[in-house]
Amino acid sequence: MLIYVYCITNKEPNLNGAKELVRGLYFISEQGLYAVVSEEKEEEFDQANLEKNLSNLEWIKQLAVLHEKVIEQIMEQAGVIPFKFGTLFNNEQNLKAMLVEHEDEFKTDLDQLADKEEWGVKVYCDKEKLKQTVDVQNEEIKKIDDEINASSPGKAFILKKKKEELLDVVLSKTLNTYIQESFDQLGQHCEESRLNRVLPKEVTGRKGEMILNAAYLVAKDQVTRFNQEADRLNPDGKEKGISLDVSGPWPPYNFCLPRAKSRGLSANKKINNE
Amino acid sequence: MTQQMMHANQATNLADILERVLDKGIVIAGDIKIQLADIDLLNIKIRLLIASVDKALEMGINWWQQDSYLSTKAKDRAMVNENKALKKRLERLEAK
Repeated sequence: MLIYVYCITNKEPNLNGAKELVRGLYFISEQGLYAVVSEEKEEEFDQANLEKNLSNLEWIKQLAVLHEKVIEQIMEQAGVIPFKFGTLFNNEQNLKAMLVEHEDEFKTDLDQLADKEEWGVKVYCDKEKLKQTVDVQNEEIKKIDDEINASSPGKAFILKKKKEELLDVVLSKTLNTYIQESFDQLGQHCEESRLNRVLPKEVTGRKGEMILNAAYLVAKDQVTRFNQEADRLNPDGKEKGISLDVSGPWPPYNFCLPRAKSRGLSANKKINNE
Repeated sequence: MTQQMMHANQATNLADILERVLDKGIVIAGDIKIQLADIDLLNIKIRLLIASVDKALEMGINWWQQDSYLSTKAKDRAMVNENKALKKRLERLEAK
């Protein structure tokens, strides 16, 4: 059996709720740290099957969702450091050795993350809709429209092209300003922020393009303010073609520093597999 | 409590979860190395995560690229130079 790690916390977790999600869930404690883990079949993760499983979208989907749901249960009770999907140990001793090795960093991180939550903000834009609103609001564009109406078909054709170009410029300006302002305004109610890559439409399944993908670490007592600010920034989405979506609270996935890849090899060698 | 509710109500998108669970979170090398990036997950990553910086650029969203101003400028300059070169060539050809 392999040990799969979900997260660590510094308070003895009550796993009653989470056990409904993953039956074999338990915790391993060391130095006042608690790793929430489950036993997994080795076959699932051995070389041959792993490759097969990893190319199976359903398999990943299922495990990833469970991974998230388990951590969500724990974080209702205490601060957590969420692990990346697929952190596995051969046995309890190796996992404990890892906890000992990283004890200080984990404790520091948990202290720093205490009473804070991650919130996600994504902004989507329906370009065509936005064009229509820009269309009626912008003076320059109105002027071109008038000219188009008063021109011969040939001239009108050229003017229309000019209008398209102008629209694009106005559009990017509007969007840039909006995104910059939103990112900054929300940043005033958080401890830290991260800018992530925008996800393609195929993934989001949204009509509009994602134009901002940000994560914020928000102090719990600021969460209401943060959400109010997000509400305020959300333009009348449907009308304007821009919508700002907030999700959370998330485990602080975006705010765990990446660790060195090395691990206590000496400890690893000493403890052989049974 | 209400925050938790919100989480549920907003029907957290699967992409939101995958984006975090597969790509973020603390990285500790365990006993088994799952090279998420190396194996076939690449194919998911491409489908799910890999960047659409290009798409954003298409839309003119480039404010986070600090050198965007410079790079646009550079592009303009390249175009001007190309134009000059072409004009010279044309003049030469016409002179013949």
